[in-house]
Amino acid sequence: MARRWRTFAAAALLPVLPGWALAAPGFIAGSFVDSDGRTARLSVQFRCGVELVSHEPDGHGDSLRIRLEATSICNGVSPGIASNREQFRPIGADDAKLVSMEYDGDSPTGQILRLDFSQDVRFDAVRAQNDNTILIQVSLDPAAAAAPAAPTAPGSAARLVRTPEAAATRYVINLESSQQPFATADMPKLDLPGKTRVFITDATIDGKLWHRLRVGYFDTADDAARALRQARSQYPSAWIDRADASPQEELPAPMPVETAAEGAAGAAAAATADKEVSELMADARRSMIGGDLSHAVQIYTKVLQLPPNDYQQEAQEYLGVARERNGQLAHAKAEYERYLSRYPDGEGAQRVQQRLAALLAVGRSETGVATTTGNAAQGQRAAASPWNVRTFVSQFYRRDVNQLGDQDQVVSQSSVYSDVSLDVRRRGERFDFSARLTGGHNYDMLDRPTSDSGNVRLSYAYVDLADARTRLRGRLGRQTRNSGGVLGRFDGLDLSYGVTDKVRIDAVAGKPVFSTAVGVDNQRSFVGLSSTFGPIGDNLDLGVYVLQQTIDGLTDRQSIGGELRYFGETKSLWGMIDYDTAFSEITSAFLQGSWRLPSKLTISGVLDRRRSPYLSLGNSMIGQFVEDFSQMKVLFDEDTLRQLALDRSALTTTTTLGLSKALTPKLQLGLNATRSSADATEASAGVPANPQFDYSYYSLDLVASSIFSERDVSIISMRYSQSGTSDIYTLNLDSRFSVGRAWRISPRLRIDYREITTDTSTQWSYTPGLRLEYRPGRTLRFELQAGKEFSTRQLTGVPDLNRESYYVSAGYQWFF
Amino acid sequence: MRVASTLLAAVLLICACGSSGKLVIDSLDPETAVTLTRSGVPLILYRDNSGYAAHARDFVYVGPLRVNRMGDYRYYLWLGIWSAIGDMDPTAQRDGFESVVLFADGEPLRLDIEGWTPSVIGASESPYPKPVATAADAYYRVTLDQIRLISEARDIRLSAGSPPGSYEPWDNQSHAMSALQAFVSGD
Repeated sequence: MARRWRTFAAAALLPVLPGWALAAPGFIAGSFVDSDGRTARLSVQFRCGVELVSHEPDGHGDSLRIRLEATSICNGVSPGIASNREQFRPIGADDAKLVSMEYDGDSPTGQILRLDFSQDVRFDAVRAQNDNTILIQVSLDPAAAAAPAAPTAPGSAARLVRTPEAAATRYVINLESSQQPFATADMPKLDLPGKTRVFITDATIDGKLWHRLRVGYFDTADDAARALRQARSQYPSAWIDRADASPQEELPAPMPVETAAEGAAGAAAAATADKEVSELMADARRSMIGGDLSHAVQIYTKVLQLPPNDYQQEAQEYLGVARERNGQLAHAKAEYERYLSRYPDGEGAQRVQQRLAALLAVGRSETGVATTTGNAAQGQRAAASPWNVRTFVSQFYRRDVNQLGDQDQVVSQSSVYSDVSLDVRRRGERFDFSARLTGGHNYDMLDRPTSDSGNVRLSYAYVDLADARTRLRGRLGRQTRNSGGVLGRFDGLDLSYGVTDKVRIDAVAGKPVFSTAVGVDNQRSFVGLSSTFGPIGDNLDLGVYVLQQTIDGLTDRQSIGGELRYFGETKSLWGMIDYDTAFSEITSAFLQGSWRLPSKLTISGVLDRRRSPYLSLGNSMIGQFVEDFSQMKVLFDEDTLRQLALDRSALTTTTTLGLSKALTPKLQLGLNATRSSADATEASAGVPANPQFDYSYYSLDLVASSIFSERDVSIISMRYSQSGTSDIYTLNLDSRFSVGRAWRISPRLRIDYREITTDTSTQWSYTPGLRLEYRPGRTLRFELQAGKEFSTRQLTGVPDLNRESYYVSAGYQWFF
Repeated sequence: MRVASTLLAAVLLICACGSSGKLVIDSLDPETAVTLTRSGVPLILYRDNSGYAAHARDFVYVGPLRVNRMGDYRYYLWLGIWSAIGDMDPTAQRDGFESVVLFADGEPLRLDIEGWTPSVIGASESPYPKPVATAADAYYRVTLDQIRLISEARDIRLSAGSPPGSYEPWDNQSHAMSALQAFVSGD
């Protein structure tokens, strides 16, 4: 066996062999499997030197976690590559019963190489002599899984901490760990097998003294495992540890007899504990979901009593949630306060703060007395209101500059766009209230005259009240809807009534808002009634509606229509149709569907046929020199107006067929073909006809991730578009990288080649650009985007026409 | 009328041969051996993109994901980003989606992208079918509690894109919300 290991270690030095799977640039350089049917030898080569710190479980199992420490001696890459997270599946993995191999260099417990097997196998792991290769021997014989591990050949490999398992190894079960000494009342009443006893040991970890309640000793791991299954009914976080032969003092006197042993086995124990805690948290989650809140409380409490681990912050929060849901409000408050005390800047601090405030508010409403305490922080929380106010602010500056040949630069845009959104909410047991105000302002720094549309935008301004008891809901003010025949933004009232869980009726009335920068359209108003049904059979939603819209006393739109949404496991379909009874025309029909086929292939299609602009009597004003519709009524009768509206509303059809395929988990292909047309319109009432317009394009997109680092992505896109005036070929290159947690950088390049059919000229355009994003905190984001376009237009007999233009966009988003 | 007949026929055909839907769908990735759990119905958010056409809209589908690797659970939100304007520059389509803010009843949840391909969640293909071929998949690491917060919200919207815009929920999302709640409760 020793010779075999040496041979295998030598083979690991020769990665250029048939059967070697070479990884994309990453920490794992490649992997190799060699098998003789009974034993498989898996070699994993890294781009940096590694030390094998530990692996667990020790011996056999269907999952192996190897803890590594990467050195800074790397093969042509930065040592930082060891912080990657990667997945890898070597060629011949099936020969080693290997399902997956995953490396996580950013794990809280260190650098972990995890191998998952399709069955229980016996394994051992060592580091090869060449410093950058880990060798894993896998015994495929099921009978061997229970046999002792094969000895490792001396000198062929090295391991940082682990030593071959001594024949006298015994096992203990760690029932519980605590920084508080155990009292006699804490002692469990376990049905202990044979000679085993309960005892307490102490361990010093990171300078902190931990008391451990244990059961032992067990001669074999199997004996310990059997006992563990029983112990977990009382101690769900119990885990098995290897015991040192040192004497232990029995219950109840605590003795720090295992302190020395802990240092040697610390790494392995830490890895084991991490897995145990992870399983514990999963168990607690299942209990929460299953409504077994008492059990969840018990488990989260256990996690918090364990030595410091990465799950304790989450456990602390969920402990509060579990107690709150279990009706233990006083305990829940205490747990939330403990969370805020321990993790004031934690990811969930804001959430916990709100939950605590809500609890305190409930407490106040129940007692009818304002809560006051001597504690300032508590007093502040007690004063927290059930009202929730959120503000979202963003400001962006945009500058566009063009220069034709040697002419002066022309600044076409230099504006600051400011947007603010204010949300106010109050959630009660019966009534939910919310209000929203969203608006914006465009500041034109070119000092041009203000356009007719103005510089102030008002997107939303509404109040909303929902009554859980009657299932009624009303929203009043500026809002949007895109179903029930309503075409987007309007000022008005929307009332909703939930007849049953699956049937809802909506009534709506208001005036359409075609632009957020323009006031309401006072000539038009509408009323509508709609109903939605679903889910039907778990996968289908239906909606039907009628809507009547008038303009200056005449019928502007009279729509009936419906919507269908279907989501199956492999297919989806979304369809909408609108028919105008006043025009006797289908004003819009939209159908979009996708179908996932085997072999990671998805086909999709879109069919969109509509009148554009959306058919309404008011379209008759297009091209007419009138100020409002009342003047049209003087000039034309209703039938003529209706015909003019049809003449101005071209029938457009768009058909798209697409295909996407995951070539590999990190490489996706997308193909798309679209044909769009707008039918010719008639000349009438002095407005000239429009010819038919056709447009088609075809695209191919390749999206690849983890080319340069684990989280990067690169996109290559090629497209060809054809219209009546030009053919355009476009190549797009785009890469996106993360630099640390706060920065994202995205260089890109676009190249266009146009063949302009109207004058037989051609044009090349090159547009390099860069996008930067910086997030200094959770509530703030900065963005900078800049690019420059160089274009040259070539026309026979005329000097080349050169044009340069650039754009800059910079701004921030902030919510509080 | 011919269009309506065609549409109706297509609808009936697809629904007739459709597999039975579920609120929560489990699947085993055959290549990476992770168990993927997702909602059967994604949320649909949209924003008007009138810069292109009067009825142009950009859509974002939002769906929760649980990845179970040998008992190691991780939660993600999947965003399927697409546009009714099919000729969408794939670069512009992804700009402003690396870091997004999802508002659940006004509560801002900042989500940072984990990656654009399924490899980042340990899967060999996206658990959610693409709505259209040109859709961009984006994966964001979240906690179960964040998904719960979203599932309990009455009002959801997303601030994303460059420059940022607000994606609002399409009407009647009760089915998607039921699926979200079933996902959270483990149905």
